[in-house]
Amino acid sequence: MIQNALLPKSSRARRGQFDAGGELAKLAVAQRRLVPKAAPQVPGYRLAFAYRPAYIATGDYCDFFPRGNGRLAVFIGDGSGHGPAASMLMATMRTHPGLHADPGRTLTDVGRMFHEVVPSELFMTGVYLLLEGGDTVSWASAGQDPPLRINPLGQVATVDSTPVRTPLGVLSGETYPTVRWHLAPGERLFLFTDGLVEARNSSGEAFGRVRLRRSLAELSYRPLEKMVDEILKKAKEHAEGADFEDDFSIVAIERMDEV
Amino acid sequence: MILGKNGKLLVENRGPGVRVLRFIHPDLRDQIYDRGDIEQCRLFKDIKASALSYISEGEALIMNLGLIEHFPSMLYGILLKVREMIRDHGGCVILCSANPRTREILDLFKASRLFAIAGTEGQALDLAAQFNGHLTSLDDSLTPDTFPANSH
Repeated sequence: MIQNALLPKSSRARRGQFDAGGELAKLAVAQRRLVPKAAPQVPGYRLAFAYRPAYIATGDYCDFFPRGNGRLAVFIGDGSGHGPAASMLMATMRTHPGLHADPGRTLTDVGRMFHEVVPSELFMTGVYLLLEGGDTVSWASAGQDPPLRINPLGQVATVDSTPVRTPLGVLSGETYPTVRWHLAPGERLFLFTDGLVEARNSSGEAFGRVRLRRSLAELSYRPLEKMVDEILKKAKEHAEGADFEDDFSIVAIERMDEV
Repeated sequence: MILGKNGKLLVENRGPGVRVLRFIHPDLRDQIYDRGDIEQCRLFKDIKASALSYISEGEALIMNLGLIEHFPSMLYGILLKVREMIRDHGGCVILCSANPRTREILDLFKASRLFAIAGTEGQALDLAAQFNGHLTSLDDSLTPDTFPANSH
């Protein structure tokens, strides 16, 4: 295919040719220290987490914010470029303890701060999700795929992207609505950044959202961590064993049976 | 017609205050990721030299994404930067011809709140012809997609 022949092997660019004076390498060291090593424990829920940087410094940012009383906030996002936006957002979210209440309000406040400090062409997509305790989860999205919701029968709910708003940093006055769900025992949520669905084979075909949804349905009977591993394996197989071209992060959540 | 220095884009005048910039390569990542900074990357420098060295007041710049197969986030950042520069002169940017995958990304980003988005270059030219540079909304019946109110 002619278009495929034109696709460059841009590994040099991908792997850090633009690393100006080693600054990105330093940024990468800081990022690696701050990225969670594992998903935290939350009563009533099982969590699984995967994070794959594809570059020296990553544009992805994934973080967990315990809120006490069995509550946990999760942020998963993807910054434009490879490093600066994600690091700025990481600094913002970690140093403003007043954040992390209602997801929509959190993204609204963070988005305003972000817009004030970053150049106009930098932005961050992301989903902020709060396990509120009991069966309630709430979330807000800034330019990112909403959480996929899988019921115990393996059915993946239709995605409604109406509540999704612009990426953080693009519009100063953007407000983000909060969506609230009540999860039944056995229901799962799958949060991801687009590097997963952008994995391509030699024909240039992306793994894609349709294939991801089908895989989630097929693997819904597997334990949560195995489901995540198998999804990664399927994406890698689709890419014919090649490295993923973009960073990606995954957070999977399952509501456990009530004790 | 101007061919960009690196052969990745073409710029064409289509009438008073209307220009079309067409990306003519499916993968622009090596032009974007050569530098960490958008303004220093080859693609933005090429766009700047080919299309932004002179911007007329109230101009409509159509950006044809039709050949782009891979749409990285930094490319959207470049579009935002171009939009900023055009709007500084009272103009607008119209995106057109995005393939379904790119359109999916633009929809997720709610890009229609910042850019007019047309299905084809012809439709984009129709929108550009109607744009009067006074930051007014267009009648919905005239637009194949949406035309932002330019309130942002």
